[in-house]
Order: sequence, then C-alpha cells, then structure tokens
Amino acid sequence: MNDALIRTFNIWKVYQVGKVMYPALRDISLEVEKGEFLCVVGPSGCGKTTLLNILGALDRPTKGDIFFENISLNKLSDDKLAEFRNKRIGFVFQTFNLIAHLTAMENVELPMMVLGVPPRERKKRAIEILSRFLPESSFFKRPTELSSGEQQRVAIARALANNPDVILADEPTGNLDSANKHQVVNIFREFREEEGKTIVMVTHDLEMTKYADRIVKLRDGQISEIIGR
Amino acid sequence: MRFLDIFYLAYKALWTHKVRTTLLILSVTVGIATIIALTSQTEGVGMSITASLQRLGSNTLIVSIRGRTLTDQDLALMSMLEGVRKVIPIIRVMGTVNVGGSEIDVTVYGISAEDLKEILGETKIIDGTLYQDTTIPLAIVGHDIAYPNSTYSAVSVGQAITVSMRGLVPFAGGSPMQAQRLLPVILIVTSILDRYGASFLISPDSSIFIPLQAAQHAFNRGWYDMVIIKAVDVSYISAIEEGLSYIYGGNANIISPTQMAETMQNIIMQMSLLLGSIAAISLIAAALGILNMMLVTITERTREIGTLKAIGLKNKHILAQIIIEGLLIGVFGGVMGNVIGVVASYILPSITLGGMFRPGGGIQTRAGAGRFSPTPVPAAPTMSLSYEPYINPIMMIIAFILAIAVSVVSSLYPAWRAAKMDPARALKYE
Repeated sequence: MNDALIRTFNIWKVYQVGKVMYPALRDISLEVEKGEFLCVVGPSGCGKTTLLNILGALDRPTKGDIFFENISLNKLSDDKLAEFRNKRIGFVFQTFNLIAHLTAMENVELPMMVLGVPPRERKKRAIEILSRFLPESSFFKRPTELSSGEQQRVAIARALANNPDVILADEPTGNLDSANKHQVVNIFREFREEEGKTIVMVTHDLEMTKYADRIVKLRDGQISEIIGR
Repeated sequence: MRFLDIFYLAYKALWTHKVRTTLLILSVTVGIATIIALTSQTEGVGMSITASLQRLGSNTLIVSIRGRTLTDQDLALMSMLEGVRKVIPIIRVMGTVNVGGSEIDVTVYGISAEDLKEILGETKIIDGTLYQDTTIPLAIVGHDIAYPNSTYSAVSVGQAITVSMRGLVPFAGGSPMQAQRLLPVILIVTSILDRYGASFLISPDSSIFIPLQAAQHAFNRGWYDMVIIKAVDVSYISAIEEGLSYIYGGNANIISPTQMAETMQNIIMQMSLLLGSIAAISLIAAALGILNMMLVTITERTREIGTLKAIGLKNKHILAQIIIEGLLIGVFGGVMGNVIGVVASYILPSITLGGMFRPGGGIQTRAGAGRFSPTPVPAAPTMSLSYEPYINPIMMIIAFILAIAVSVVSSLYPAWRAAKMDPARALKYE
C-alpha cells in the first residue's frame, strides 16, 4: 500500500443547516492508489461529490486527515491548496463548466495561465492537447458553439493541461449521449494506461463502472462496499 | 499568475455582456459628462466676466455720485487725490438710431479723443479715422451698429446719422427732475470700430462715441455722468477709494473692476463647486448601479467562480479580476464622459440659453440702465456678456479619477464576495 496517492483517515464532513447538523460523510477511510481507475457510486445525496471535492482539495473535511502522497492537505492554506489543485489535480464536471466567455483554446490555456506558463508555450501545449480531441476548426469556438460531447472533451483537455497526477471526474458522462460517454471514459483509460495517471470518477451510471479497477459504493455518507476486480 | 492574464480575463468577461457593460459604462459617462459640461459653463461665464472686467485695466475706478451728476469741480477734486494719474469725464446718453431701416438701441458717449484711445486700447478702426477734440458732432460708430447683419454695412464713413435721445434728464445740474424730450441729434460718422467683444460698463460694439465738447453742445450739458479714474498703479486704488469716500461720504458710487473680478471669481468658483457636486450626485447613482449589477453578475457567475477556483485561481486572483472589471468600466466611462462632456459643453449653451444668450456674440444685459428711473444713475453698469465654455483640464483629470474611483469602490464589495466564495459550494450552485 505504499503506492497510495491519496489517503484519507476517518474523514467526516458535517454540514450545518440551520440548527441541524447534517453529516454528508461519515468516517471515510480510503486509499486511492497511483495509476488506478477508481469509481465512486451510490444513490444521489450519498456524499459522492463531497468525497470527490475533499479528495481534490476543493473542500476541507470537518474532521479527519487527508494526505496526498506525503502532503497533509489539512495543513495547507487556501492559497497553497489552490496552487496544489492547479498543478496536481484535473477536475472534470458533469456540466463541463467551461468559461463561457473564453474560446476552447483559452479554456485549455487557463490552468497554464494560472501556473504562469508564458503565452507562446501555453498556446503550443493547448494546441497539442486539443488536437487529440477536437478538429482544429473548433479551437477558437466559444463553448456555446460546441456540442456537449465536444465541450466535455475541451473540459478534459483543460483538466490535462498542467499534466496533473490525478483526474477527478464528477459524473462526467451525465450529460452525454451513449457514444460520447464511452469516448470520454476511453480518454480516461488511455490517460491512465499511457501515462500511468490516476482517475477517480463519480458516477451513477453502472455501465461506466465496467472500466474501473475498483468501485467504491457509498451509502448515507459511509462506504458500504469496495469492489475490486 | 501574471497580472496581464488577469487583466485579459477581466476584459473578456466584460466583453461577453456587451449590453450590460455598455450600460454600466454609460451610467459613469453621464455623470462625468455632466460634471464637465456644467463646470465648463460656469467657468466660461466667469472667465468672460473677469476678462471683460479686467479689460479696462486693474488701475481703473469708475465713479459716479448718487443723486447728482459730476461737475468740473468734482474732476478737479478727484485729480488732486494721491495716486490719480488721470480723470476721464464721460457723458452718457441713451437713444436709438435708425440704420438700414431699423431702430437700434445705442448708447452715446461723450469722451475726449485721447481718453477714448485709452479706453478702447488695441481696438482697430475698420474705416475712417478717430475724431479730434471738437464741438462738431463727429461720431465713431461701434461694430454692431455699423453691421447689424454681420456682413453688410449699414453705416459708412462720412454719412450723417440721426440719433433720437430718450429719457428723463435733470435740468441744469440737479433736481428737480423734469421730463425733457431731447431733439434728435445729427452725427457725422468719421470712423467705424472693429469688433471689441465682451466688456464691462462700456460696450463699444453697441455704442457711438462723440467728442466730449460736441456732447456738451449737442445735449446742452455742462456736467458729466461718470468719471473713470486711472491710478498711477494698482497699489493706489484702495487709497483713492478711501479718498473718494472721505469726500463724498456714502454717496460715492465707486466701481473697481478688479475688485469685482475677484468677487466674481469667488462666486463663480462656488457656483462651479455647487454644480459639480450636483453632477457628482449622478455618479452616486452610477456607483449604486455598478454595485447592484456586479452583485447580480457575481451571483450569476457563482459556478464560473467555483470552476476558476477548482482550476487553481487563488482568492486574490478572483478579487483582482472583479476589481479590474470595475476599473475598466471606470476607465471607459471616464474617457467617454470626458469626450461627451467636452462636446456637450459647446452644445449646451445654445440649447439651454437659446435665444437669450448667443455664445460668442454680444449679449446685452443692462442692469438698471436708468432709462426711465427718476434719478439718473449715470454709472449704472451696462454689461455685455458673451462667453465661451472653458474646459478646465484639471477638472477633466478630477472627473476621470472620480470615474475610476467610483467604479473601483463599487466593485470592491462584489469582488470580496466572489473571492471568499466556498469553491465546493459555488460549484453546486444552480
């Protein structure tokens, strides 16, 4: 288990709604191994997205520890977390979340912009990644001019821009048709197989879990079952 | 992250909402343009008034005595005061002249040839020559009388014109007053003056000058309506004023153009301040508009902000982007406001003042001209007001800074709200 990329120890996430405490995650201890394709499944409201956000340093657990490699994410400031996300995590969302006023190219450039990559270099890199997923004629289109499949591929290109260690995908296939679904998941698999990167994908589409190495089942904020292959 | 990139993101974000951004820019523009347009009017009027006041020279006093006219004795007395270089007696009569088939209001001044030169200063003569001191009624005609319709000349040198005098004139040197219908006076034109422009007290453009002796003859007078005192230099002015008050007590009506100019400048400055503040209130409306719109925009962009944070933008990056959006609105609004303000400055007078005032032309305001007043008020100020709006470059800079300040300040709170958003929650926002 020395290969673990992300380790969580007894993580709790408690939301306070008015005076009522509502635990979204209860005592989650999980290890995400380097190079694995992990699927998180479960009914809606079971805490899948919350778990993913905590794994991606987008959210802090109320209680419990989380380590990325040997970095304790609990101890990092907001700015350090932002830097960490920028360099090491690629997020893919169900609703694509492309920045509407930027072109496909600029969306892919964005994480590199944040990293401080000079314009010439980041344009080169953006073209390099985008050309794997999109015809060149679409590079300078706005998200609204692209199909949903194309949008998600741009979003994946954006997630890959800074060559992250892990891709965290929150229902990435939820808004896609069948053909595009498989295409997206296949991109993830290629990414893992060719570059040895880690994928954590939240889904409630059981068809997609067949690509996974391990499946974590969540129920009421707790891990109910881990299925390995 | 490089500052330039944040700038670019802010610019792109603004440019997506063209209509919204344009309206925000316009709200700033209106405020700035109003400030520029209004202050340029008051400053223009102020400068025109002070300029016309100062035309007579800072070493000048205009003196009349309440309730009576001035005699040679008065002249002698005045010239004895310390610091007086010259005492210029003037006879002033109102009347009408018939030129080119229409009646024109004129003021006829009796003044000696030498003194006239001093008063007119640099003003050129278009046609003819100045008169010599004589009892013959020779006349120098002001520009607006000779050219009532701008180009075509209604009066030419050598021509005789008939001036009908009006008003109540006191008999020989004092009360009781009695209506006296003066006979029409025939004057021979010896020269025509070039345009003189705005002036205080005496407006040569609508005046006719005749030799002092000729005026005494024609109007059958041995007295004067007013006296212009020229001091040796400005420093004597207050001493002369004191001397005059000592001689005439409260009856001396002393007008010091320099003093008036100073007072005027103060009044104008306060007017500018007042109008500027009123215009600035519209900037408060603009500020609230920006604040409101920014807050709405931030809420709308919640998920975008969440995404930016997921990508790795720090709180300060988000803060900077929103503030720069405000800054850009301010910069564009400030530039446009200045441009429109300058244009409006020149259009405004002709819209608001319409027929009353003609900027650049001659505006006649006769304050208490005493045409029908029971006592002659010999030195009642006759003012010719015309003005060009004056756009103060300092005002433009202030307005520009104000535009930026207003926009930036009103984007601070929305920017802070955006920056402190919890990314996980922001991403969930529908």
